[in-house]
Amino acid sequence: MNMDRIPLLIDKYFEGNTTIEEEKEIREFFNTTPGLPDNLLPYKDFFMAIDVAARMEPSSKFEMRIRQRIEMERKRNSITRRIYITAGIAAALMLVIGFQQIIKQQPINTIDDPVIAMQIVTDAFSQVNKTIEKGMNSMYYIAEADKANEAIKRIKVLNESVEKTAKIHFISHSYKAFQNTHTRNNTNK
Amino acid sequence: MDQKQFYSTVLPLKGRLYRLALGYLKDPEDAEDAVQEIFVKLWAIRKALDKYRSIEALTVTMTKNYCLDQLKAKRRSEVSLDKVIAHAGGTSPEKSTVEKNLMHVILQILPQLPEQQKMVFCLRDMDGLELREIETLTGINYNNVRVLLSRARKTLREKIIKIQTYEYGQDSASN
Repeated sequence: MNMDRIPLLIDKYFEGNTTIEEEKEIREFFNTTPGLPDNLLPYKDFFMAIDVAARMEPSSKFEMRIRQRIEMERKRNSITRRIYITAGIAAALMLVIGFQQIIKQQPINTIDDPVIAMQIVTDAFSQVNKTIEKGMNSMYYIAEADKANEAIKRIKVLNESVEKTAKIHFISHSYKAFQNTHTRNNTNK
Repeated sequence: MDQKQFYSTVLPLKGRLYRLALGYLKDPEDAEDAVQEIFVKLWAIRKALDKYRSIEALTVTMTKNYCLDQLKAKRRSEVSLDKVIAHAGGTSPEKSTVEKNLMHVILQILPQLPEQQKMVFCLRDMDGLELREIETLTGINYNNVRVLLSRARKTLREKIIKIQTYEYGQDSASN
């Protein structure tokens, strides 16, 4: 090791200009060289301390501890996921069962004999038909009633006009009669 | 992303994130807890991970934010040397006292660094990343990364030299 080279490297080191190789060289020098010259002695502790710091490692069981911890997290997560999946499946099953129940309930009164079935269907339709007919009949009555109303209105109008004519006729008639009697009285005097 | 992919992409980042978390929380136990929490969070969003341009950048940001939240949540007490040594995984058991002390020292002073300096320093000097990689991971522009790194190194040097003079005297320097 060149003793002249080390002080130069040290200066370079404190300016942040050394390469990683050069830094290793400096540390190696201080770790292995006995009987340092006075100018380099103050740096011995510094470089040894850094060398010690660089070799600090987590304890040997540390990696195991991390693996165990992560394994634990993984299991915990998979348990939660399993619970979610189970809950999901259960919900889906409930839905399916519910639908099945609804579907099952719909055809309660089924009839196997086609003749009876036909009979029932015909009955049902005629029932419906009757009801509609009834409705239609009442509609007819309403229409008829409307017609009657109309006729009554017309009769009323006619009646009124007849009455009016009668009144006029009566007035003119009585006036004539009055005139006649008057003239007769005059002639009698 | 399935479990296998998750392990192969995310688990290798554990060292980097741990060291980064240490830079904030300084307690090795807290740092491990932080990284574990981040991995659990990542696992929860594993299906969305493919959408991220860089999972590594995501993990760095998540670690930083998580640690800041932790620091906000409770004021940390000083970490004892024993605890640091007890949780110093990965290093050789026959570590010298000096080394243990140094580890303790660096854990005490790293959290004192300003936010961005700490990130850049952790990613470079503790994780050996290229400046360009740090630029991608943090979103800090290349030149700024260099400047921040230089400042962080100088600050740490000052602090370590100070501790040397006050706590260990000349003994540790002459070892």
